[in-house]
Amino acid sequence: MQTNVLLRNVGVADSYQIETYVQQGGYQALAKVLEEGQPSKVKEVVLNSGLRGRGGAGFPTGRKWMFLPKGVYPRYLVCNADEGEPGTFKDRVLMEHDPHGVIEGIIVSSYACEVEHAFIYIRGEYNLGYQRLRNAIDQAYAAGFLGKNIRGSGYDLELSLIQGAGAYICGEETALLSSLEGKRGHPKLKPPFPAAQGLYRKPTIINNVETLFNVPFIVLNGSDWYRQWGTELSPGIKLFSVSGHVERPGVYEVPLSTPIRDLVYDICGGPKDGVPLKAIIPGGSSTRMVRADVAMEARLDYEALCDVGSDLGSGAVIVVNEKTCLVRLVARLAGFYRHESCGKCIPCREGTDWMYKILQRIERGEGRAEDLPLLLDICNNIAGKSFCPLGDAAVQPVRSSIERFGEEYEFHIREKRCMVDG
Amino acid sequence: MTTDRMVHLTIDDQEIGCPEGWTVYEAATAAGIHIPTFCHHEKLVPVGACRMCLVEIEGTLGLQTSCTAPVREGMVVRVHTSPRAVEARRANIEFLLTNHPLDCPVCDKGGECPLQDQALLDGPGNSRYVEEKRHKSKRYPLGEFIVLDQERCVLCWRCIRFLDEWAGDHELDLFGRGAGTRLTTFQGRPLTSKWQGNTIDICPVGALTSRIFRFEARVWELTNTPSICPLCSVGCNTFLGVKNNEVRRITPRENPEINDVWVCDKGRFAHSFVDHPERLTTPLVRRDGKLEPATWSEALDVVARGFKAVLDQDGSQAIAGLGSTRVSNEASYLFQRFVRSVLQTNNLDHLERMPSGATPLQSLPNLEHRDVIVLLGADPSTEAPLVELWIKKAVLRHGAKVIVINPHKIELSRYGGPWLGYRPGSGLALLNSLMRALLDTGLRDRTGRATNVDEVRAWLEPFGPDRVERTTGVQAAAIRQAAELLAQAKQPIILYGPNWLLEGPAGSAALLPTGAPSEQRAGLVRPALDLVANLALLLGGVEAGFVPWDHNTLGALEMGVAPDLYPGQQPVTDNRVRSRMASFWGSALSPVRGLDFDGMMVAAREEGLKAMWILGADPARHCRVAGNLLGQIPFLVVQDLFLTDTASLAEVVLPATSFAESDGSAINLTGRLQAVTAAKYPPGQARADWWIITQLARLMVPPKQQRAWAFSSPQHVLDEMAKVLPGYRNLDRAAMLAGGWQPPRPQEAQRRVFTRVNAVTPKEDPEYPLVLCTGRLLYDRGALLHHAEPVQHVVPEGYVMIHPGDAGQYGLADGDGVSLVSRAGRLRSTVRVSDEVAPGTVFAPLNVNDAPLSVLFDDRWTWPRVQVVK
Repeated sequence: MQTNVLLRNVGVADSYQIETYVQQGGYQALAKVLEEGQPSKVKEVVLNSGLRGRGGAGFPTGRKWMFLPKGVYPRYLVCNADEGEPGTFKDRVLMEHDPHGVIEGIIVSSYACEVEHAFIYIRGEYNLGYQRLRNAIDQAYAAGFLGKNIRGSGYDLELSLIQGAGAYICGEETALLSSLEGKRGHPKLKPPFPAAQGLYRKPTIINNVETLFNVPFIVLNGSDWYRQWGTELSPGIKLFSVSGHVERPGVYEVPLSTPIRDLVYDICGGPKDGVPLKAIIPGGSSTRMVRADVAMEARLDYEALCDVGSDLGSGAVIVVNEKTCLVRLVARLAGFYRHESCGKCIPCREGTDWMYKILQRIERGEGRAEDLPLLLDICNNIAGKSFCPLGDAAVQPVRSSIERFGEEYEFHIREKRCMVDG
Repeated sequence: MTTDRMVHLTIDDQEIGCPEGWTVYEAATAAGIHIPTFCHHEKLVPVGACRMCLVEIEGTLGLQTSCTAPVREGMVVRVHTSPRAVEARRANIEFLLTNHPLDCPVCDKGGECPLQDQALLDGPGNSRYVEEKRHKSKRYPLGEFIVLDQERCVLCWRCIRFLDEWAGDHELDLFGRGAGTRLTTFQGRPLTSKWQGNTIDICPVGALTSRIFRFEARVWELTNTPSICPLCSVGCNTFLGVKNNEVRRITPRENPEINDVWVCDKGRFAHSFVDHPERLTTPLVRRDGKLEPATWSEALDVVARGFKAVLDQDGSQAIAGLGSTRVSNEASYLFQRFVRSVLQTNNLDHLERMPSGATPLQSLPNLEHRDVIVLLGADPSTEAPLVELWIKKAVLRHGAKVIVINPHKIELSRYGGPWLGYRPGSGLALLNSLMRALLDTGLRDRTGRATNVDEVRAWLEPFGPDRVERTTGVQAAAIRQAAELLAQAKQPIILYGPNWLLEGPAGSAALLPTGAPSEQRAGLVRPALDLVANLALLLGGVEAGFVPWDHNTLGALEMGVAPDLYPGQQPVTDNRVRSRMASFWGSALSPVRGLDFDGMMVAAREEGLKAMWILGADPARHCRVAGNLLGQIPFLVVQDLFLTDTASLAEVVLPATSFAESDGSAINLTGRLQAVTAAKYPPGQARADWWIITQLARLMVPPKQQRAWAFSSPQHVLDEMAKVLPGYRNLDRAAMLAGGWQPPRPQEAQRRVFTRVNAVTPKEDPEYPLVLCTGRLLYDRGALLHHAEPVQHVVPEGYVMIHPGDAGQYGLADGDGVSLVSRAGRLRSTVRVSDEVAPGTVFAPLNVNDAPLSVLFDDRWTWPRVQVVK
């Protein structure tokens, strides 16, 4: 049930060198689009493929591209490589092992969107990925895949590689643009949306690494080929970063709509040491956690995960077994969001701090009965009121754990100790 | 954004119409529906950060920030009728208060604090927060004027945005992230912006408080009286906050035509001169060579007898009056009326007199829409700060360019416009050259209205940019760049200052010898004015506005404190005017032009001047020549706030009131008549100028003229001014009090002819190779500021700025102690090496040294040549 499209070069010796990439059939999609010379055709096939953004929001890529205002240049394309969602490490694998695949995705997409300057904004901690991309970009320039008059086509594209400085918020597209412009990484008002007015107030397309990585395959093989996998609304293949209590955590490529049970039990070898599972966070820490028994009946696509009260997110499946204290886990995640809140808006800045302090107190055994309704109230007061989605994300683990695992909190507060410590 | 199209929407079941382009917040506010905000401020670009103004808009998912949501036709908005929105705002207040120190009882903002008000209005009564509050820095001085309490700060970044969007001073920013975010400056550097005080006003909490006002009073103890700032020619509208008869703080009063809602730090913080212990509190009369306290009746009696004695023995030509650009119109008007009708002479003048050919600026807000702004010997940043703010608005919001024509760089040079740093004395040649370069660009038919363009071409032939390079020290490329910008400009404007006027005498024919008839000397500024008019005409008849330095420069001229002009700038030599004035004033008037200040000093030297009355001026300090001569006048009367250098020479010193202690009016740089209101009682027995003049007149005039001096208030004086001054008949007092009244502008015939101006190359003097130019700093040790202790901390020590090339040649290094030596005198100073001054020129700021710069001046019309020696 695993596919081997996106990860085909992972494990190949020197996969990050241009010779290997070309040998494996790389830069064919680029050759094809340059030969055809019709950017709109590329846009069309991506639109028809139903490819959805792999960064977490799942917005249809082709539709995003259609938002570019006609006749306004220059336009920019930004590859969002600021992979920071806890539990997510799929883009890292692509950039470290197949940097030319990332670059080809960027070139083909830039060509489709008539962009002449593209940027990769890479997470500051991804040092190996940065080195490999740097090397690959230099090779691509040398080979004439980047720069002026690419492969004699008359098409020019510059590609700049920029390192982030360690802020989760810079994965949010408008904050990323602020950072890229050399400003404080604060999210900006929408509208205007980046497609209308983004980087340096010019039309800008921002796509996730994996999203762009899919594009050359779709261009080469067509939208019907891509739609052989998944569902009508969730077509294609997807990388999943599986972490936590399974025997073989890692990055796996499966068609969308694969049952979670197959991923966890068959592909990842099932629960670690056979300890029964308690919860699954299916799409990264910003998606709601689900009871393991409920999750095991669900499939890995946008609609099915919505039905069980969660989301596909960035495809980061965090597996939690029964020996884990959920209060501690949630307190840890709350600490993450408190640390990463940019501080721009009041609900997120103050709410994440408050939630963290309450959860720490409960964890220390100083919880009060009124803390649970208070926590839920704070969640309500953040959700939908914050400036950007970070506030909403911060609420998800707290609210879903209290709603679905309330007994653990109650035990903690009542007994002033952890339920799983025995 | 705003257009004429109207949009109709419903807010809280109320039907509202507003222009397209407004935000929901603006529409609601205009309709009287209160929406609380913290980050949003009507003068700043909306950011939607604080989430306080969330409202429900039908048809959209989730709540929207009303400060960023544009109105749409048919929109239905719920502010107070949406439980969701009400709850969101309540929750937001709760969030803010969780870590707020709640130290309102000791917070200066208490009583006028939006957070306090909002917490009372919408906030939860009790706190659910039991955790430890965050601790940050609580008494952090950001600079000389502001102290920051980071615990009270709600991180709305209004202060940051104000400094960025308006002042262009990116000094404040947020550091850190999330709950740990702090407002501060980069690397803890002190805040230096001259606009920082405004951040105190717009801070929605007590995070930024004034170090001067801090703990001085609770805001509800203050009586706020509307007033006008007296410290520059802009005349910003203010409130004087008084407690226990002391001015505790000054805050801006909104006036869209002048200062919008802002005021500069000088105007805000430099008020302590009003309540300074050295204020004169009683009249002083010289007895046995010493000035001794006296009663008013004693002092006025001495003055009246002194003046009468001179009149009887030497006649009216032996008396003179020197007025001021700092006193009210009422004082100036009565002063000249007294000198003319009681002392029977036109020997009247004031220093820093605006030449009558100079035209005032038409409007401050219009500066925003200028695309190229030429600053000619004017530095608005130090001389008239609000002018700078409007120029910055043009630059920061609309990309205007600023051309700086000045011997030294100024703050507005920072926007990269060309700097034509000419050697003082070569300004006329430079401007001729700029015009020549402009003609070379083609100018696209701008000159159509002028009749003698071809003549101009011929005149300007010798002034090619390459040919003036050596005499002016300005590179030809810079001149051409400026010409290019001007040729492309659609809405250019020229602003020129007092320093430009000095280019007239310096660059024209050989200087007149001392003692030449005074009108000839004053006429020397003419070429400088003619060149401004030429440039304006060449650009198609654009506006050229004079930016004076002092508070009531226009008033002093308009009230007729001049040897040749009656009120309304009517000539004294005109018989019809004179007989009209005589009938108003109930006395025959002298038909002879009087002496101007230079003439008075010549008369003093020749012992022809026996008595002089000086009102609110200190010529002994600002003019070396005068300093030596005033002491020789047998009967000198000085009326001022402090015992100035000039006052120490007087026989009688009369204590006057400050702007805060008497009603009156002043005319600002755009010609706007504004009311000043007494906000407190004067110290001791200090009296208003109008009262002193009136009392003295009553002592001196015969019984049948007593009625002509029956003024009982400054309002009565204004009544008479309204009758006497042409154009003042329709004086609107309500408007004058509310936001200023603009008298009708005299319709001047459009100039169509260029005036030929020859520029003579200034003579070199090998012994004194450098030219000294002076200028103002924002904060100095001038008459009033010297007595404003808080701003004295930011006044630099005296220095002389010299170009690196010259410094190398004369072996000078930064920080060297040196003497500035001219043919007239010498002065100690400290070297500052900088390429912000033109080669061959040295710049020294006025009013910062212990000794006045005037010791170096030969006469007050020419920049002195100096040498700098270690």
